[in-house]
This record gives sequence, structure tokens and C-alpha cells, in this order.
Amino acid sequence: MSSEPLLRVENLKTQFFTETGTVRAVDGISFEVYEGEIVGLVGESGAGKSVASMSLLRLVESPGEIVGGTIEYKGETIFDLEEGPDGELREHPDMLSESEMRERIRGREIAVIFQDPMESLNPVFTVGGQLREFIEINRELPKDEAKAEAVRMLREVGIPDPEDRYEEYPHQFSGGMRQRVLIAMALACEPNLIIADEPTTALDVTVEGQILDLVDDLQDRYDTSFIWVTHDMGVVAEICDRVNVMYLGEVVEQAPVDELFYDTKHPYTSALLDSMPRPDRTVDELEPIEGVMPEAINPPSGCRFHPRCPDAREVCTRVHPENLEVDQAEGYPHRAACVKHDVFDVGYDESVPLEKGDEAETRVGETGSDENVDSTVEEGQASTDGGKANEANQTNRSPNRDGGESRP
Amino acid sequence: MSTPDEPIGFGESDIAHGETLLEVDGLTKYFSSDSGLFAGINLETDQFPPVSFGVDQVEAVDDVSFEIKMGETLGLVGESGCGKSTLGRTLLRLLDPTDGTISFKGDDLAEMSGEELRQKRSEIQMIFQDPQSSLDPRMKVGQIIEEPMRAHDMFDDEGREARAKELLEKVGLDPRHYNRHPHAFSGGQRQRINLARALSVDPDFVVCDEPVSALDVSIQAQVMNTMEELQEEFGLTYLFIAHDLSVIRHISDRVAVMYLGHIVELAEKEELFENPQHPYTRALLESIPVPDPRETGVRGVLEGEVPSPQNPPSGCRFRTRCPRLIKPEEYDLTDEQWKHTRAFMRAVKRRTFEPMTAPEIRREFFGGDTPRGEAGEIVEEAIDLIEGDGEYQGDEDDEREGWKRATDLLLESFAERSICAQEQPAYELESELGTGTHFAACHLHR
Ligand code: SF4
Ligand code: SF4
Repeated sequence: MSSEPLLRVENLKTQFFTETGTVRAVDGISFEVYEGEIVGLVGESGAGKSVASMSLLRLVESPGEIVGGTIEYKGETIFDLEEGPDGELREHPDMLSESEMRERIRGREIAVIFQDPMESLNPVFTVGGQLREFIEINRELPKDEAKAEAVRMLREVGIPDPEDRYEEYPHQFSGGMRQRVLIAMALACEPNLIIADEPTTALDVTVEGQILDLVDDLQDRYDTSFIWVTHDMGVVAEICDRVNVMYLGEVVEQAPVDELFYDTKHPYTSALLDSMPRPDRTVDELEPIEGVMPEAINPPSGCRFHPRCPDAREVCTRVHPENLEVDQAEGYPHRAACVKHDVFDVGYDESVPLEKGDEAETRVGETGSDENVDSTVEEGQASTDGGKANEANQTNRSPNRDGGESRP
Repeated sequence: MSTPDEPIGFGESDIAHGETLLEVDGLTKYFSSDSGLFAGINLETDQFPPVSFGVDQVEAVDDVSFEIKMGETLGLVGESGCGKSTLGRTLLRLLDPTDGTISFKGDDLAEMSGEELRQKRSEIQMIFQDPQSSLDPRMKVGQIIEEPMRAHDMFDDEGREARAKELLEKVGLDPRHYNRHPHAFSGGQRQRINLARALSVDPDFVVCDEPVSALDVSIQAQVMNTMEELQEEFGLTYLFIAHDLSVIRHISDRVAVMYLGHIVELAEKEELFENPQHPYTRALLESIPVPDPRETGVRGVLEGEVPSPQNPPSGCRFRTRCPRLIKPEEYDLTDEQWKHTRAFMRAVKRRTFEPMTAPEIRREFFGGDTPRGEAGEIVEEAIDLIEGDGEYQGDEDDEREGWKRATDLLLESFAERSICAQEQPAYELESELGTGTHFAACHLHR
């Protein structure tokens, strides 16, 4: 592990203030991203992974707000709070200003690729024109050089016949090709970190394969770090170096990818892996996780997974486990937020097991995790900030839109 | 035919488990391209003056044949736009077939209309992907489930209510939720309501179109398990349409793979997944990210994109992307030389490289050594055309002329002379695993 992380997130909290109450969409997560690695942020809908990733660029908008924690990027402070004279919390003076974020960080240092490229491309301008303008503004190149660079980038991300396709409009591109354009845009300023939010979820499997190959290839060449937000454990296994598993606003397990799959330490991660049908072998019996993820507006006491956890004991209803280091692997910590592990020392072994179905909310009466928050949030799009052509591209995103809900 | 207090699977089916329930032969569904392709609108073209020129046909489903046996689950898998949903809807006569027969328990659904068809629909039901939009938000759960029974005049009010409640329980919901509105339910639960609704008229056959793809994995597993239990209990037959190969592998007994309107392979599940015989199936299987970090997948194995169904390739529709495209008989090429030529042809067609000099092209694509004989002459001619292109510096249109001619020359000389372009493949193979037949639409088995 190299000494200093590129990005350090500590105890990050993002909340949405809605009519029905406060939604703790991200509730105290911590993780690091080191140079050149792909870090996964994985979880089901409503886990908070998209909100978490947008918080990193301070792109959460009303009624959402980052309410606590620290985000540091290359030693600079993206977010931090300090205590004011009257004990109230206020922004730390070291925190980058909004204009610094816009001019120096978003797009240039940290770029974003979204699931649906149509949200980031303006339908009324040609693909090439948008890319050229983006390069022109962000790299301060003259128009003709920016155009040559745009064509080169299109070819680089595998767009066939880039000279001709340069002149085409986004709707003339297939989903996979559009995603390639977004990757070209994200790479255009040679950022150090790219946040990819379910970038292959809407794509067909053969196209997804092509995109994953492309990312691998580009990552080798540019040594860019990635935060890969996904619900798909297959994609995690394919491309991530280290993984954070999220459940109901928290990171419940963090480990290098091989460890996560072969020495799983959190019951939720195990349950997730056991509930998946496999492409590579026939599983006769799937073991679903009981119930559904509860609402982040009113999370269960103690361990948030306890109503669904097969290993839950009485103590789990009382003690809220932090995500603590329970092991080391490949020089990285293996963290798990589960009181089963010795470091917690809260008397799990002596505690009485919870009766199955006792606490476990049966399917009856469950409400949709997609209904946690009714309000939608407007967010700018980091990867296209600064591109005039893209200014119209602010889109509505619901904080719970992440994951699994949008396969073709 | 029934009274309310009969058991839930009331209509005894006259077909034994394992016998053919549905037989589809030569089923074809074309849309005229201006009719809103996937909106499912089928223009009555005969009401227009016959505009045979300029009206493109979209061949969504073309000459598809298969059968489904009583009690089995046939998985139908393919990527977006392959025609799998159109096929499902055409089977149910939600769309009118252009050609072919759909024999269900011996009656041809394709020929039916009006009341006869309406009657038949109680035996065939459908479940869609998006449980949200397929449930009317103004109706209560009970009404939703009873609606099909009402439409088919089954039972009286009391009987319908009793059956709806019983079904709620069967699909894993609380019968007390009979009076709730669907918005109070999660995605997984809504899909259960859909299941209850589909089962209310005691169908034999249920077409499930991506029923779990909108659900999170843990919920997917719950719903699939329930579907399997229901199948067992009521002897249901499923056509399970999905893009997710893992889901298909879990739930199916046999699997059909579709590509661009054709079924390219059909076999028993283990045989299809462990012994795939069509290059497209192989590519699909190799592309799936496997949830195991120690398996380093091959992935990105397919070049290019699916061609338009308005103008599908002749012969084997997969030929424009097939990594195994068969060498035309007339040329004397080694396998290695054919591989180079094929790669060169596709790179030229897709313009994936910048114009370069002839020696550079030879080096890049042929390891410096172009083939000899007639094939070699064609390759050299194409190389000349492309090299010539690079020399133009002026008018952009001129610049592309040589390249275009090179593309045409290569495609006409090689791609179109392959057996893959000339005959539509269809081969019955012996299964290595299991006993069933194994259909593969690929000339490698000729
Ligand atoms: S703390 Fe208890 S309930 Fe939570 S994951 Fe661990 S065993 Fe399960
Ligand atoms: S028939 Fe030819 S093109 Fe089609 S799959 Fe077989 S080898 Fe490939």
C-alpha cells in the first residue's frame, strides 16, 4: 500500500431533509482510494452508494446536505467542518470554495461517468462538437487542435470511424457507444480519479464486456484511479481491487476483492453472494435474504442488518457496530461491521440468538426501499462542468436511484 | 366449469406433464418501420395503397420454431433488440404474427380471433418486467387480482374474493392486504401481486417477460423461488424471457438463445451452458462478469454492434460479428491467412485505424506477409485503395472514396462469398449432456 491515499473519506454523512423526516442516506462512511486502484462501492438499491459518490464532489443538492465528516483529495480539503465559537458546526476554512471545486476539481481532477450517458450528453449538439468544446475549455487548446484531440479520443475509446461519427448526434449512437463517448469525455482532462456510477448497468452483457475491457486498458495506460459504484458482484469481481459493501447508508465490509469473496466477514456480504444465481454453475437452491432493506428514514436499532441477519443475536439489537478492522490482507485492512468478531468484545457468544421470523420482518408489510425519499434532487454533472454545451444538462436524480433498477 | 370452493388449481389440464403444450412453427413478426417499432403498434398495411417501395420492414422475429413441454420452463435469452419480447407478445397474440403457426394444445392461436381468442387467453397469461407500471394504481390489490377472473366470468363476487385471498397467500403475501393499493408495496411484492393476478384464471402457460430484472438480487431470489414453488404446485409451464444469463441458468429446464430475430441455439440447460455450440452463445457466456475474482473472464469478445433488423445480414445473421466466420470455398487460404484477412476486412469496414501506408498495413494486419493467389490480389487492391486515401489532403468527401471502395471490395469478395452469408444455418446435433436434441444455427456443424 502506498503511503498517502489519493482520496480519504472519513465518517461522511449525507442526509435528506424531507417532509416525512430526515433520511440518513449516507451515515458515517469511511474509505480511502489509493493511486491507480479501482475501489468498488457496492450495494443494493437504497444502500446509499450513489449519494455517497456524489457527496465526494459536493454535488448533493437540496433537500440533501452533507452534514458531517471529512473528504480529502491529494491533501486538499473537499469537505470538513469545525466547531464555531458557540459550539455550532461550520465549514472549515481550509475547505475548497465552490469555484475552486468547479474550476480545478470537477472534471479535471475527479471526473464522473453516469449510468445513462444521455443525461450527460446534450441531444441538440453533435457528439464531436461537445467533446471538442469540452477539451477546448478544459485543456485550453485552440479549436482545431481540440478537434483533432477529440477525434483521437473517440478512436482511443473504440468508436469506429471517428471522423464521420464526430458529426453525429447522441441519439445516433447506441448505448454502448454513448458510454464510450462519456469515457472519452471523462478521460479528456486526464483526471486522477474517475467516479463511475453504474456505468455498465444499462448495457447488454457483450457491450458491458467491451466497456470493462476498455476501462482495464485505459487504466493501464493512464493509471487513473476509479471508484466503481455498482450493484453487480460480477462486475466487482472482474475489475475492483478493493471493495466497500454498503448497507442502509453504512459501509459494512471493506476488503481487497479476493478477501471479500473468499474470506467474507460480514453476514450481509455472505447473504448477498448466496442469493445470487451464477452464470458459471447451476445453483439448485437460491438462499434469498429474508425481507427487504428497511428505510433509511427509520433504521433498525443496533446493527442495521439484524432484522434480516441469519446470525443475529440479542446483542445485535442493542449494539451498533462500527466498521472495524478484523483482519489484514495484502497489506490492507479487512474491516467488518459485525459484532461476531472478537475485536468488538460485546458478548456476542453469550448472547441469545434471535428467533428467525421473530425480528425478521417477513415479506408482509414491507415497503419499498425505493420509496424512502419521494423528493428528487438536482445535481450538476461533474464530468461536464465547464462545457457550455452541457450546461442544460442538469438532471433530476433521486438519492435512491442507485442500483439494479434499470436493466434494459 | 367451476365452483368457488373447488381447489385452487381447478381446471384439470388435459395434457400430461412432459407432452408438448405449445408448438411454434415458422413464426414471423415484421413491423413496418414507420409504425413505431417497439411501441407494438401494428399498422394494417393493407389499408394503405400498397407502398412496396420505400417502406422498410423490420424483421423483429423471423422464422422461429420451437416447442414447449407441459410443466417445463423454457428460458429465452438474448440482448436488447433481439426480438425476445416481441416473440413473447406474439405468442400471446398481443401482436399479430406476420406468418407461422402457434399451436397451443392443438389449436392454432395464430388463426384465432375475437371471442375464441379471448376465451383462450385464460389459459395463457403474461407477467411483465415492470411491476409498477403494470398495476393500476387506482385499483386495490383485490380488484387487480380479480380482474382477469371477472373478464372470464369465473365465480361470483364472493368466490373471486376467496380465490384472490387464497392466491395472495400462495404468492407469499398477506391475505389481509386485499384492500390495499399497489403503491404500498415494494417492487418484489408488486411482482407477487402480478403473479397472483396471472394465476387467478388458472392458466397452464405463463409468459414471463423479464419478471425479476427490475429487482435487487436478494429480492430476485425470493421471487424466483416463489415462481418455482408455484410451478410445482400448479403444474405451470413457463416461457421465461430474460437478458440475464445467470437468472436463465437458474430457472430454466431448456434454453433458447436469440440473436437478431432468430433462435441461434436451443438445448437443455446444462448442455447449453457447458457445451455451447454457437459462436454467439459462446461469446455471451464469455462476456458475463463472473462473481469470482479468481476467474479472470475473457469478456469483450465480440466486436462491433448488432446490425439493424431493418436490413439484417443474409444467411447467418451473426456473420458480421462472428469470430468464426467461415472462409469462402474458392480461395486457397490457410487458417492463419483467413484470420488475418477477416480481421483486416472488419477493421476496414469499421474504420478502426487511421490511414497508413501499404507496408504499414501489411505489417499491422498480416504480419508483413499478405496471402498469395486470388485472395492476395484482392487484399493488395484494397490496401492500395486505402493507401491512396491517405494521400488526399483536400476535400473530405474525396478522402473517403478509396476507403469505401476498399470496404465494398473486401465485403463482396470475402464476407458475402462465405457459406455463412449464403445459406441460413440450422443443424440438429446430439447433446453431450442430457438426452434432448441440441439445435445450433451455425454452419460450423455442416
Ligand atoms: S452484528 Fe449481529 S446482526 Fe449485525 S451482521 Fe453481525 S451478527 Fe448479524
Ligand atoms: S454460420 Fe458462420 S457466421 Fe454464423 S455463427 Fe456459424 S460460423 Fe459464425
